[in-house]
Amino acid sequence: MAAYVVRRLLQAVVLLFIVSVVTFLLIHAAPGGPAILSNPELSRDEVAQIKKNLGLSDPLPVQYLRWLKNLSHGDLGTSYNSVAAVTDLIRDRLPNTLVLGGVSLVLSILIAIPLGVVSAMRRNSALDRVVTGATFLGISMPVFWFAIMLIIVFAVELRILPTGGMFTIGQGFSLTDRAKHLVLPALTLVVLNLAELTRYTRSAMINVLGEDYIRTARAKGLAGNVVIRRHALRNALIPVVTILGVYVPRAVSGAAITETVFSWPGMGLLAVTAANTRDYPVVLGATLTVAVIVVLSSLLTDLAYGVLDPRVRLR
Amino acid sequence: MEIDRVLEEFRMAGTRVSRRDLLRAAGVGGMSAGAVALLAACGGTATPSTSGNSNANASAPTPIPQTSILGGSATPESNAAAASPTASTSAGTPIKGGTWRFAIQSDPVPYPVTLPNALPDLLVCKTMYDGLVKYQLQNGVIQVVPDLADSWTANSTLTEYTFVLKQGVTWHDGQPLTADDVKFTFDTELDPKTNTSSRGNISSIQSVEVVDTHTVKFVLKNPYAPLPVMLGYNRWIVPKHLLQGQDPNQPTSFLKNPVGTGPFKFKQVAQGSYLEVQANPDYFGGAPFLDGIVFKVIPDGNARVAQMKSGDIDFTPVDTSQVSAVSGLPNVTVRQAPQVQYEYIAFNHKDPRFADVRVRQAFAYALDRDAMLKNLLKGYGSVANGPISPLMGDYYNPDVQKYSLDLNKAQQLLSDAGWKKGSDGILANDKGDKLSLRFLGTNIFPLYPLDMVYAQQQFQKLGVDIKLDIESWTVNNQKELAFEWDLLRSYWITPPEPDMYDHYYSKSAANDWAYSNPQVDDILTKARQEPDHQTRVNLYHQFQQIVATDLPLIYLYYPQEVQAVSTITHDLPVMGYRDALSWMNKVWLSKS
Repeated sequence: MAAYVVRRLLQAVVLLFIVSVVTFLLIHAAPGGPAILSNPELSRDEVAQIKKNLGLSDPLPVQYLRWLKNLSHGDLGTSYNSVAAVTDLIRDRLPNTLVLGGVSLVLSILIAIPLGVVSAMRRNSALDRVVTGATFLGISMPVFWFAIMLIIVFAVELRILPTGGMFTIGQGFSLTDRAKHLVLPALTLVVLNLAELTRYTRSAMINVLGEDYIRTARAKGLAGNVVIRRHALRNALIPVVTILGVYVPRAVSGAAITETVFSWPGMGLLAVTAANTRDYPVVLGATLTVAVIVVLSSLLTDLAYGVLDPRVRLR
Repeated sequence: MEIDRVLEEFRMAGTRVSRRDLLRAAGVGGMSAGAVALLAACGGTATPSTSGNSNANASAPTPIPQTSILGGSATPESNAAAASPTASTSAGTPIKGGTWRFAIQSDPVPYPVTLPNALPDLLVCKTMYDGLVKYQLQNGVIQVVPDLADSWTANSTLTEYTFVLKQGVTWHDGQPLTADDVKFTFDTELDPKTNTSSRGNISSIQSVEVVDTHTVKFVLKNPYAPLPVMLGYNRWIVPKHLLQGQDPNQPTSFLKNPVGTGPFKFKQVAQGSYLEVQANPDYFGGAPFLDGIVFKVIPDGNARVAQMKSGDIDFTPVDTSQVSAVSGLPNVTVRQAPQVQYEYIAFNHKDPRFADVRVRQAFAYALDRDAMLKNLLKGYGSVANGPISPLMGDYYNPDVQKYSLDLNKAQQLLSDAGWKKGSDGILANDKGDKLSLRFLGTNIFPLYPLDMVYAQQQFQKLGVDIKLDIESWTVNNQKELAFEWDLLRSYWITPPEPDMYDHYYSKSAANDWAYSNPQVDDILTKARQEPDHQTRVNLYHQFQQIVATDLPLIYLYYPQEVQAVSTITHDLPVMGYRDALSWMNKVWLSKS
């Protein structure tokens, strides 16, 4: 097991290196260049001078190696847009995204899995149809529309929830205040996640319920609940765990649209803005951070398989 | 006497066509899903005046009282007497207290010298720092008034300017403001190692000399009338004692606690959420009424409207399509404010197909600008016939050639210039060149795709084949500078100065259209060096007549800025918010 983990971590380092190179090449290939240089107040000479000052007129390999060298000192560079250290920006924003993403994911799981299981067990019943219909609606709804609708209904009209942001400005830290601000953005993400997760769980459960060993268990005379709990659920959870492995990176990289509409200071907004404005250090830093988390979560997922499925032996 | 003549001159400050602002923190406006959609809501129902001069303040320019820029202790308060009407119906006496909330699109950098010089940075800096001069709207004309400077004079050839600073001004940390700070600021900005976008406007400065603790002398490379105006354009003085020795591009310790001389001082910041400033009771212009200002980061346009509705913010500029969403609310006033900006369609003058002025005029005759103003801008603005707007007072010349919709005339002009419709319906000349054009514009402004499609429609009626090339901001800029276009939809925001030299002079680096007219070159060179006010006025009147006939560009409109302001806000000057924010010490909030 230990050998497996070590091997995986080494693979991860290679993978991260490749990710950084690809990201670097992609962002530099994007036309337009850093938005700060698109300032119409700058003359062509000034643009050339600033490029030189920022090291952007060096050949790409030189720039990449410089970045790598700084990375080895823990320095991810300085953002062009914010004149702040990239590490500071990420350090400030990542927790916000993790909170939002984490809470949404946990809520989604707590709702979706039971819902999916029940739906699968009572296939084609009224409940199943409602759930299927609702999840279909959830998947089809545009995020920005749904988000702004929530704001209009709950914040502007009913005034029971805040219009945006992570906390009330001027107040000190208050858990209830933070929770109130979390409700609408989390709800947006949950509705999104819920739809997919419920359907996956339902499908996985339906597949499992059709397996021979379930029929055997029933034939043995086991009660329905016991069949589900002891045999079906664990097996159905395997594909679900796979899906969760996809959700974690999503949660970490941040839901850019949700964060934008709710003015939530997270990684999604940071990364997308940086990409649009070609803020190279931030793009590289954010991508690398997300990549690290994705690699780690993928490792955890595989370890989880080892727990869930005795047939899987991790070597 | 020299001083009188020079002061006359400074009534309508310098000439130097200002450069554009970066209108929106680049990219954010364009990124979230429905970035264009996020600014699009139902059409507006507000009814602004749609007459030719819809700018309510654009009355015939009246002589400006000399006291506005005279020496002595001319304070903003004394100028307020002559100021035009301010925001909501001011209910008398200002009340102290309250926090004003202003929506910005992205995190601001509260330090004015270096890039990104983005819009949120400028807005925050306007409340925390001061410049030597600033702008005020008086009787429909934007004037330069003293700020940190008490008075200034120039020599007869306009190659040396001496500014006298106000006495007793202190930094937020208590240290006194001196001429050393002014010299330090300008030296830093002029240093090529400093990454800044604001150097262009002061490129005529050769050196800054400290004459005594409160007197600074600017020595220029060439005679330059516009200097005083330029010194007020997004330009602030920073403290030498705190910035000396730090990297000007990344003054990390200064950024943790930035210090200025302005009416508000830095209080706290939360990355991605807000920046808060609090009142500076020792502000030289009088302690502000407000307790503080919160700059809230709200990237989404619809969210800003929602927060305006719920009373969570006090101010946001709105797009014309958002007007109906903020109209008719009990807690919001929608108002329009003048700004020195003109919108245009440019010709690529490197292209020989545009060499004949009749061709350019034909394009101008193909557009119904009144209809465009009414339907696309919802009336928020006025039709432009040249680059100098009525906001510049007597420099504005209304007696120029105008172009109203006349497709027949347009067709005739093209025919006279040798363009006939070929078998494919596209105009061609006898050399075989076709009028098949690439029309470049950016989608960061929702207006552009709209009027570009309209223009395409109209031009195609004449037999011109138009391919629309609508790009993101950065790609648009890249293509623009590389002349990868035939027609260009763009704009200039300028300081209130008629000097258009940088854009219209044939060899200027910022002449993005390759326009070249020796007559114009001659007039612009003379005018920016001319000390006598009336002579300058005459020169610019001539300039406007020439460009209206020669049409380097098709002038479209002077757009008004549409603002949503909370009804509890009082005495916010009715100017574009960039300028209005330099007067935050006068703003107060009523209880309800």
